[in-house]
Amino acid sequence: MTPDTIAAQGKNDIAADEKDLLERPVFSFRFQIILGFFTFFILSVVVTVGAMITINQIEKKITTVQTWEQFLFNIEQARRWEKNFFLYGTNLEDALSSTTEAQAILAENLKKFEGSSIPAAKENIKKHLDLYHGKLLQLNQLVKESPDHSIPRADLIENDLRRYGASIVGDAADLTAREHDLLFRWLQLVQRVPAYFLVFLFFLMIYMTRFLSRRFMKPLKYLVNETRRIARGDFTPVQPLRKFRDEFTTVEVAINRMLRELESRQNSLIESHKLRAVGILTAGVAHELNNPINNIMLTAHSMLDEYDDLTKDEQIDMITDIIGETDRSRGIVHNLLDFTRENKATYDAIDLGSLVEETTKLAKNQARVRGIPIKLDVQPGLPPVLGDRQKLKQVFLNLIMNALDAVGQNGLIQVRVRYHKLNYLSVQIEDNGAGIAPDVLPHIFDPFFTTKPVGKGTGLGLSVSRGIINKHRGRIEADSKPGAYTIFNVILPYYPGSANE
Amino acid sequence: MSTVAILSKYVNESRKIAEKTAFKLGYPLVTMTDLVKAAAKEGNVTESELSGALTDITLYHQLFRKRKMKLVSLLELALCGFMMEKSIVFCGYVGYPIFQEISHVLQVLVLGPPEDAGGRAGGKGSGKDLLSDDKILKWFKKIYQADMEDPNLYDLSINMWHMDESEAADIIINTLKQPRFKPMTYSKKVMKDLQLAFHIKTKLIEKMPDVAVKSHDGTVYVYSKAFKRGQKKAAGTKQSIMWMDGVDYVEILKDQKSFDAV
Amino acid sequence: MNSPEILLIDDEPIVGQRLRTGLEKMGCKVEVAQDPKDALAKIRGKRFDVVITDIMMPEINGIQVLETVKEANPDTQVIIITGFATSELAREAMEKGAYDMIAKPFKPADLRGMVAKAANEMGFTDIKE
Repeated sequence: MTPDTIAAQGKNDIAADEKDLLERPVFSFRFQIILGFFTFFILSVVVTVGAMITINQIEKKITTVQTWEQFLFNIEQARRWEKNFFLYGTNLEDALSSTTEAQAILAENLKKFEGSSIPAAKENIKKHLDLYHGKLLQLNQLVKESPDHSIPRADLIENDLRRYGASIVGDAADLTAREHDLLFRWLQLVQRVPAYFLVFLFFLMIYMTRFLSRRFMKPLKYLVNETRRIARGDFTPVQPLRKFRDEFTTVEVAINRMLRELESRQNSLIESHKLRAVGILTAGVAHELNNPINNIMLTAHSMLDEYDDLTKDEQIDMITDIIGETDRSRGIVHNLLDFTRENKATYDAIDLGSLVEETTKLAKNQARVRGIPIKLDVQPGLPPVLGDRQKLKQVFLNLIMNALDAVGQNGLIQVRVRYHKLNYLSVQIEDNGAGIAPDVLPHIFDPFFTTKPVGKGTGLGLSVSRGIINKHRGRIEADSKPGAYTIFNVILPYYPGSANE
Repeated sequence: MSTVAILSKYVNESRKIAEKTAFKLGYPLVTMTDLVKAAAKEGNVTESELSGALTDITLYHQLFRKRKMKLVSLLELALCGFMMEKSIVFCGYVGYPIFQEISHVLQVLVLGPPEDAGGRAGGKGSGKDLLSDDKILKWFKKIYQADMEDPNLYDLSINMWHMDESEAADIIINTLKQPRFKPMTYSKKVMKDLQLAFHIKTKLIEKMPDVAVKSHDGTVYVYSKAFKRGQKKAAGTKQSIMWMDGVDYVEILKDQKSFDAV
Repeated sequence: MNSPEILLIDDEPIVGQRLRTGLEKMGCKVEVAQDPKDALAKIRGKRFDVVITDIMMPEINGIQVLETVKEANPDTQVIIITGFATSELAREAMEKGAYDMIAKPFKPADLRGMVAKAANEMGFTDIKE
């Protein structure tokens, strides 16, 4: 795969990732807040309109009650006049007019009462009032016909009048009382509802506050945790916390973008460090190649010079030598090329022992130039680890080169590969150099930390090494005693399932 | 085949020291003028054009950089020729990249009074050896991107303020007696490689001003940024130098790092 | 006839095998050592006329061999053969008394020429390349 297609694919990944995040249904905090306030507003409107309607009803009810009271007054008046007539023979005209008035009130308001009053025997009242009025008219007729004021069957009419009158008064009074009662209840209601509403509002606000703040705090806490994870060198993208899209989605998208940027920068950093290391190594390798090439040249020239004097066996020996030395050259170049090769970031099952051995070989030329022996000790039969060959090689090479820089005369570097605890293997790189001061030791994995002069650092920083090892779910530890030793311990989990093989 | 290379911005003073040294050692003295003559003959260019490349440090440099690089390269090739032929004392201000590579070159820096007292040092307009004074430093910086008066680049620094040319020559000769400046098979081979490299560089530099050439035993490595742009350029370059004398194999390198590593 | 005694030290066995025949044909007595420790013991125990040594060897390097040779017998000429040739190394070797230095890879004739020249200078006039 060419770098271009890799880049294109990377872009596609980014696009797909962002699409996934951005295509979720939008449910933003802005919208949520607006929704909350809108709910408050609607509630207030409902309560206010309700109150207005109720007050309007009360107003109507008051008019109704007043009308009934007037009606009742007229009826009672009529009955008084009627009584006077039977006692003293007077006031019949007055009774008639009062009754007519009551009739008028009833006629005028009966429709209205239907709307605003409680359902009751209003028809009864009207009927009885009409009958009452009829009896009075009849009585008036009789009075006019008999000038001596002697009215036949007067007691009969009186009885009817009494009966009808009492019925009307009873019904009307009852109705008025009930209307009064209702009015009173409504008034009570109008008084209480705002209080209830306030209490309700209070609890609603508490709930809203808690709900919203929880909605804010949870993703914030989540992001804080995620940044801690990122700071440890894990650059896997942040997973969205919710099914829908909100303002935090934007933050997540931004963080993911930053992560990709960081990762690509780190990769190019690793790449550039690698190139620098390759530069150093190539010089060593170019020199290292001179030995087999020299052997080939000497052998070929010897054959050329002495061809006729050589026995067949000697000739075969020489040709075998040439082939052997050619293989050796290829091996030297291959090891370097393997390290230089474009990084594909594939995870394979790796024999850690041979990986470390190859790495040691790469560094050996440098070590030989400096006259520093590197002792390699690999525990046999170790299970493989799952990892990125090149990146791991780079980490080990970096540690070995650091060790080379740390030791002086009589320096010794020991590399050990063995079982660690449980499911882990460890690669230990120990040098007997100057060591690391205790106050510096905790900081050696910090980014940009270096003890070497500017431009002199050869490897990739220990922080990048740690990032690589973290990605392999392993860890890297350092231990040192100034003036005595420094040990770097790289601990990697071995491939699960391979332990019993 | 020993070489004493005397570099200085004090043209007249260093020239006197060089003459004395050459005389005492019995070596011929090679000056910038000799280089110009030899290069003119070798490269088929006029002496005045070569002298121009060595003197002008402003407009000419900007406008005709490629041509100037070629001329400088020609001069360096001529210097290689002198160095290959016999033991010499060289006095001038080209050849820095050659001297750095060869173990049997004694590199001498001649310094003047700390705050150039003017009157005594650097006779202006002496004309004999082209540039004078600080112009040399500027020229050197422009061509080699290095500070000519950086003592770290030299085996020996002589401050002529403290001595006459005869004493200076004695110091140089005594230093040259140290075994480390003795020519040997290896350094002669490096010298031969360098001569071939400069030969090829001179040929290519006008087309690719950034071209860098190395040679090991007839295997030639060529690097230029231009090779990244097209196969054609690389193939053409390879063709053009493949048949030169002393070239067995040509390797075109497209990145600086691989070139540095070989 | 007097023949020069030569010690050839290189941890690469092929170097010794191939150079020995040629040098012997020239009329030299050749001893070959692959282990520089053995070589140092030989140098201390016997006088060689020419010592040819590699530089980059395990534990002991050619410069140490050169120093030991010059200590044991300043007249012995030392020829350095190395795959790691640099200008600095050349100067160091010459300063410590090396006779000549050649970079690997080289042709057997190149080395024979150097040995012949050294031998001639030491008075073995009948040694020819």
